[in-house]
Parts: sequence; C-alpha cells; structure tokens
Amino acid sequence: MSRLALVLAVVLGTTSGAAQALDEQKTTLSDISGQLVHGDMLCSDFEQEKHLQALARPLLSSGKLIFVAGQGVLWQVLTPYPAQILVRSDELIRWDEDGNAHKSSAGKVPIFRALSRVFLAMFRGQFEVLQDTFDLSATQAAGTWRLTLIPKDEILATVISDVRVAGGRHVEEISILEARGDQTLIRLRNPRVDGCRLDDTEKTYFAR
Amino acid sequence: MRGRAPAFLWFLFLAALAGWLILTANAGPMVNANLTDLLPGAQRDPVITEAVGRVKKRFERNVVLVVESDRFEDARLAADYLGEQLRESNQFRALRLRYDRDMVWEAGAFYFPMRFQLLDHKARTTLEAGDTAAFERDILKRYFGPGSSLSSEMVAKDPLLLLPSYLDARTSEAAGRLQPENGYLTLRAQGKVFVVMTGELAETPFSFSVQERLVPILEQVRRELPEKFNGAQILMAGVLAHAIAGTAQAFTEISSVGLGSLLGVFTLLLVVFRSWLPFGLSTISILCGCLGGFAACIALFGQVHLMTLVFGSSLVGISVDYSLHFFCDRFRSPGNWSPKLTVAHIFPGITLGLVTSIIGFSGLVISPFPGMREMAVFSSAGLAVAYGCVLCWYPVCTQRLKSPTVQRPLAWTSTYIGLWQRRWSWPVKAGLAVLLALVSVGFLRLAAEDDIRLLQTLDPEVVAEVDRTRALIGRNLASQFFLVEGRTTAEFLEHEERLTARLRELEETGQVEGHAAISDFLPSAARQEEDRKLLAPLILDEDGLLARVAQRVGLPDNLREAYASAYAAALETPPVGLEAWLAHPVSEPYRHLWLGQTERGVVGVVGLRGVFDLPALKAVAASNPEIHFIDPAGEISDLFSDYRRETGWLAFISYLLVALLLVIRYGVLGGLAVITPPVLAAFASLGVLGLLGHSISLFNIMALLLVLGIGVDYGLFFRETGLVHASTFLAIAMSALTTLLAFGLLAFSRTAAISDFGLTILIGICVAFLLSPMAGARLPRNSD
Repeated sequence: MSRLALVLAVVLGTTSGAAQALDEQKTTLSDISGQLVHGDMLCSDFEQEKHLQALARPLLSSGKLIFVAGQGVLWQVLTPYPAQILVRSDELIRWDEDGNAHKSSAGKVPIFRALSRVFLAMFRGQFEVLQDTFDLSATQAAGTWRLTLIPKDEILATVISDVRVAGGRHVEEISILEARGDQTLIRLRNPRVDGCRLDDTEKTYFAR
Repeated sequence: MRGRAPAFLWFLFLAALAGWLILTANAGPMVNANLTDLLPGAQRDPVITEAVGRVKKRFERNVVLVVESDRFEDARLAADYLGEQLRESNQFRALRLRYDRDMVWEAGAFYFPMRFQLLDHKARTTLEAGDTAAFERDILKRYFGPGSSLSSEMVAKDPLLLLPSYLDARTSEAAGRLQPENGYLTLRAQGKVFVVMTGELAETPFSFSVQERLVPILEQVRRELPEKFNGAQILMAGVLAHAIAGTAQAFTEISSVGLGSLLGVFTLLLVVFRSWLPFGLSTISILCGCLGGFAACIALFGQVHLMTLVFGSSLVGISVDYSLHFFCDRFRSPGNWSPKLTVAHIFPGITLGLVTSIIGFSGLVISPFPGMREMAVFSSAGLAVAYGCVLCWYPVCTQRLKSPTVQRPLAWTSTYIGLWQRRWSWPVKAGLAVLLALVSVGFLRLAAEDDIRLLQTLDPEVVAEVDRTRALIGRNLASQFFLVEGRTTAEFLEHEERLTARLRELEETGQVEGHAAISDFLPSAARQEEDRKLLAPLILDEDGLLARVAQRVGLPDNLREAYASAYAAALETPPVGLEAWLAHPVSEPYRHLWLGQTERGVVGVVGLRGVFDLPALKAVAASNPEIHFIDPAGEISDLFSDYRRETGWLAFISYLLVALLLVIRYGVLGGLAVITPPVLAAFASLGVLGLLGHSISLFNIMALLLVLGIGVDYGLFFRETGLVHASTFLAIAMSALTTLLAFGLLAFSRTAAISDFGLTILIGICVAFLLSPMAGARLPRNSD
C-alpha cells in the first residue's frame, strides 16, 4: 500500500515537476513577448558586422530596415554599397541598380530559411513558432532578456551553432554563430513602432 | 430440314472467329483507352514526330501528389504512408518523396570546378560591354549586403563569388517555390504545410493496369488520410488525375447508356411481340456482330480503342433493325406466315440497308483519323455479321413461333401512314412548313467549334484540384514547347543558346513569361571558353578586379594568389560536356528536357511558361531549321477543324453516292423520295442545333453520316416491301425507338464530343422517322 503511494507520488511528482519546468519556459517566453512593443510594422536602423575567418577584417555595413507583419523584412543597405533586399519566410529578393528584382538561391538554403523565420518571429514576438526548428532557452533580468536558439534539425546544426537574440522593449541585437566559426552580428538602433510607415518606393518593394 | 446447313456453317464460322480472337488475346493487350491515340499525328518529319511522341509519353506519365496538412509532421507521415502504398502498387517507374541529398550542396559540388566558365546572363552582358565597375559593385554588394549566404569556405575558394552569382541567376529563372525540409520537398502557404511527391508511371495513365491497380489504392488512401493523420489530404495533378476521372466517367456513361438502351429495347420487344424469342435472337445477333467487328479491327489494326468499342457496339446495335423487320413481317399476313416467306420478303430491303450503311461508314474508312477508321471497320463488319445471323439463323429458330394475334400497334401506325397517302394531308404540310422555318432560322446561327476541349471530360472538381496543385507548386508549364536538334551534343547546346537568346528578348517584351532550357544549366563548350576568356584580365592583371576586391574586403594575399593559379589551371582543362552533366545528380530536375539520340543526331526540349504570343514563337522556329515549335493543343484543334471540313465533304459524297444508288434502283422520283427524308433530317438536326445555340464540330458531322445510313434504311424498307404496309412502318417505328435508346442517351454525356454526337442523332433520327412514309408516298396502299 505504501509502496503504491510512493510510486504514485514519484510519478505524479515528476510529471508535475516537468510540467512546471515547461510552464516556466512558457511564462518566460510569453513574458518576453509581452515586454516587446507590438505593432504591425517596425522601423529601425541597423549595423551589421560579418566576421569571416577567411578575411582579415570584419565586413561592416549599415542601413535601415522595415518589418511588416505577414509581409517580411525589407533591408535597405545605405553604406558602403546601397542595396535593397526583401526577406520573406521562404524567399529572398534582391534589386539591382536597374530596379529589376532577382530571387536568390539563398531561399533554397535551409539555414537561410531558418534564420528568416527567426527574424519574422522575433519582430512579432511569436517565439512558439520557432520551437519546431530550435530549442529555446531564455533568461530575464531587469527589463532585458536573452534568448538562445539551438537548431533541432541535424542538417541545420551542421551549419549553425546557435542564434542569440537580446533586447528589452525591442529586439536589440542578433548574433548568429556558424558551426565553422563565421559570425554575423546585427545591432538595431533606434527601433520604433510609432511613425513607422512605408514610402511609395518601399511600397513597390513589398508589392513584389 | 433445309436451312439447317447454312445455319450450322454460319455457327462454325463465328466459332472459328471467336477461337482466333482468344488465341490472339494472348499476344498482348487488345483494348486501348488513350483518347489521343484516336487522333492522327500532324504531318511532319518522322524524327520530330518521334521526338514529340517521347515528350508526350513522358508528360502524360508524370504525376504530382501533394499532401496537405496543418502541421509538417502530419503531412510528412501522411506522405510517407501514401508513398509506401503507391510503391506497393508497382505502377510507378520512379517515385520521389525524400531528398536526402542537399541539392544546393550538390549543385555547388558540380559547378564549383566550372566557376570560371559559368557567367550568368547579366554578368556576361556587363563584361562584354566592358563595364568592369558594375561587375565589381555587384560582387561587393554580395559581400556587404544582409541575407547573403557568405561563408569563409566560399570566400576562400571563390572570392569573386562567381558561383553564387551563377546559382542565384539559375534559381531566379527556375522560380520554384518548393524547399527541402528534413529531406521532404515542402511548401508553406495559406497557413498550411504541403509535402510534394513526384512520380513517373510505368505505363500510360490510360492503361488498364494503372486504372485497375493504382486507382483503388489512391481512392483508399484518399479516404484514410484525414482520419489517420489529423485531417491530412491529397491533391493530385498530372494527366493521371484527368485519366482517372475520365475513365471512371466513361465507364459510368457506357454502363448507364448501355443498360438504359438494353432495358428499353427489351421492354419494347416484349410488349410488341409478346415473346422472349425476338429479344433473345436480336441480342445474340448484336453480340455476334460485335464479335465480328472486334475481330475485323484486331485483324486490320492489331487493337481496338475503348471508344471504338463504345460507339461501334452502338452502331452494330442498328442491326436490331434487321431483326425487327423479320419479326414485324409476321404482322403483314398473320394467317399464313412462314419464316421462309419472310426471308424472301425482307431480303432485298435489309441487303440494301446493309449496303447503304456500309457506304455511309466507308466515308470514314478513307479518313486519316485512326479512331474513325476503326469505328467504320468495326461497324461495317459488325453489321455484316449481324445480317448473316438474321438470314442464317432466324428462319431455323422461329419455326415454332406462333403468329401474333394482337395488332393494336398496327392501328396506330396505320393512322400515321394514312396522313401521307397520295395527297399529303394538312398536318403533314403544316409539320413540314414549321420544320423548314425552324431549320432556316437555326442555320443562320450555326458556328463551328474545333477546340480540343471537345474531347475532354472536364470534371470541375478534378480541374479545380489540378489547378490548385499546379498553382501551389508553381509548375505552370505551357503546353507548347520547342524541340532543338543538333548533330552532336555540343551543336545542340549552341543551337539552344541561339533560341534562348531570342526567347530572352521575347521575355523582356512580355510575349513569353519564361523558359526552361538545358543550356541555361550547362552552357555550350564554346560559351564556356568565351566566359573564361572574359575573366582573364580581371583575375590575372596585377591591379585588376580581383586585386581591388581583395583589398576592399581584406582577402589575404595567399588566397588571392591561389585563386589566380586555380584560374590558370582551369584554362588548361577542357569545357564540361553535356554527358557529364546528364550523369550527375545535379541535372535530375531538368533531365526531362533531354530526349537523346535520333537517326540524325540528338534532340532536346525547351519548355515554356506563359505563352502570350504564338505567332512570335512560331516565327522563331521558322527561321531556324534545327528549331521546331510544337503546339499539341493547337495541332489537335487544327486537326478537328480540318477533319470537320473533310468529313463534311465525305458526308456530302456519301449522300450523293447513296442517292445515285437509289435513283438507279427506283428511278429519279422514287430515289429522291427515299433520300429526301434523311437529307431533310440532316438539315433539321443542324438547324435545331443552331437554334439551341450549339456550335458544329466534327462529331456532329460524323453523326450526320449515321443519320444517312439509318434514315435511308427506313425509306428502303417501305420501297422494297413494294407496298406501304403498316407492318413495315411498325418495324421502322421500333427501329427508330431502339436507335434513339441506343444513341439518344449519349446526348446526356458530359464529354462534349459524345453529347454532340448523341444529340445530332437524336434529332436526325426523329425527323427521318417521321418523314419516312414519304419514301412510299407514291405507292399504293395495302389495306391490311
């Protein structure tokens, strides 16, 4: 009798313990999501550092980006070489100087799609959708948070070691560490939801 | 007893025929169900005809299956299950579900050694124009831009990023939306997940083994999936989808039309003759007729098409007329009826009937339409055999048949014939006037219609599913394509590059949306050498492009030197040939474009998307003997229109021939009296079709031939019996009813071709029947 009670206690204890851990995880994610300022659009400036091991110095670029929910992210590089790139969940479109759109083969690369999904989910604060592809762990302290994403998919894991995202009321920094040691760091500056709108040129990019 | 010998001999003959058929059946399949086999190929170069045949064969065997679900996991498992079931059916030559290899990586592996000889179209035009600065800017944008898939490995070995630039251009042109996810080709759209499977059938989708073994499995899985995998569903595209729907429908229609007419005829015969024997004998002679038709087709063509069986059997059904005349003759002189007298009485009539029917059909034998030739042979032979049955067997079998006593139907027919005696009564005149008025109005509204859709059974559900699938996977290939020839593979690629250069111009101006060509994935040897030469100053010059890019991005000197020496080494290696590309997995998605050897070289396909300007494309091919523009749907429509005209003339000639025959036998007035009802009937059907707003196709004209064959019979029987008997008209009435039951029901078919055919017969036979007493109008009336 007492043994049965013990077994029951253990079983129930562990399950509720596991459930509790899962709940905490959920709480953190929804806390972060709740902390983020939501909007259908987000405008921001960005700085990008690409550290390629083969190259002597990092590749630096900057510009502005616009996120539109359900549409994608438009990156407009201003320096050193102006370029427009639209990232959607399953495709990447570049524009050349003549204004012609080109789809990139990057859209076929699993790593690209995983990352674009990360971007799209983050701006929206919808972390649950990432759990298909990544193991998520989150920490929170004093109005800031950090998320670490580790790929579940084996093929993806051979390319990406981890993705780290940090922020407070907005996403502020994204770092992608590749398995071979290359690293990309993107910092968002002056992110804003209010007063963020598309001008006519930008509208034509999203119309693609 | 006399008469037994011919009956026995006839039996032996048919038994031998059946035996021969059974022996032949072991040699291979005798029935073919592919509708397009009924059509003649366009008249052209045999090499091209053969190549088009190969494209067609490949195209119709392609199957695309998509599993749709809310979650990837369900879609994946459902697709696995479906794949397993389909493999077990053994009906697929190839079935692709999982892509374990990384396609992008594979492309990299194949093209990497070729990176110095693979400029995309834009890079080549930029360099040819000498705009090195623009080329440099494009490279640096790739370095500094976001979202690029730059890696140390790539930068170290290809610092000018030639390979990624080429691959990007390819992807942009291919514009596919499918992406591998865990090895499954996947698409996420409309809040759903789609997993795609492609297959190639081992046989044509119209074959019976596909229909018998694959269709039940597909149906079963379609039912099971939603329950087993949380609402997962199957979408299908490809000729198979249409073939399944079409064949299923053809069978339903055949069986309902067949059953309907059988029941109708059975009831009719039983009611009028009050005996089982007439129905039994008629059925036997029709069956023997079909046997004869089948054997004749096998002997002449080696096989019979399903459509021939359908139409042919109905045509042989006309032979029930012969039986009817035999049995109706008993009403003529109920007291002293004997089978022998009957045979003597009806012999000239049914013989002439057979001859005129065969004349009607022989118009079709001359036509180059394989389907029509088959039908004509089947029906002519079938009628002849049924005719033999009536003459040889009926007298023997009906010895003990008692004379009928009930003659009510005769009273009705007597009344109707009465209207046509000597001076036509007012109902006849009024009827004719109304008919003529209607027909003239209808005639003015007639228009021709030769679209291939006449042959298609467009089940709206299937069409919607196929359209949705095609839209999803973005595989919206046009039905038109180019064939490109070359004496060697190298020459083939050069010819193709000439074509794609022209196509790119048409794409710029929006006359075509896009194309798929092998040379876009493997440039010709000549072009590879040119591309390599273009890069020489850029890579080898001390302060050339490579030096500038290296300095800008911080590429170490050792990597730059290694790149320059890799280029120098590449200059010494021969260009990559088509054979190597074909042998590598990287070519797999495009291998269908390669057709291989012909008697005078090699041939390949250039596929098209979104064709908006047919004449422009035809013009491209016209100026190049190695390039051929193929438009299968257009060809079929052209054929329909050609054969509509041709068959129209054949019908006209047949009518004239029959009229001539009748004039020879009955004199000018008599002959005209017999030919007039079917001619009026033919005009009436066209007029009524016009009134109903139908357009005229080949199939209406074919039906007119039949209206002639049958309509003339009606008149003949009046003539040949010498007097206008009510019994003759009864036979004709019954024959018209049975014909209407056999063909009129076809008017309800959902395939336009069959329904056109049925409707024309329906109208034509009604009119021919009602007017038939005209044939005997100047004959004295027998007051029986």
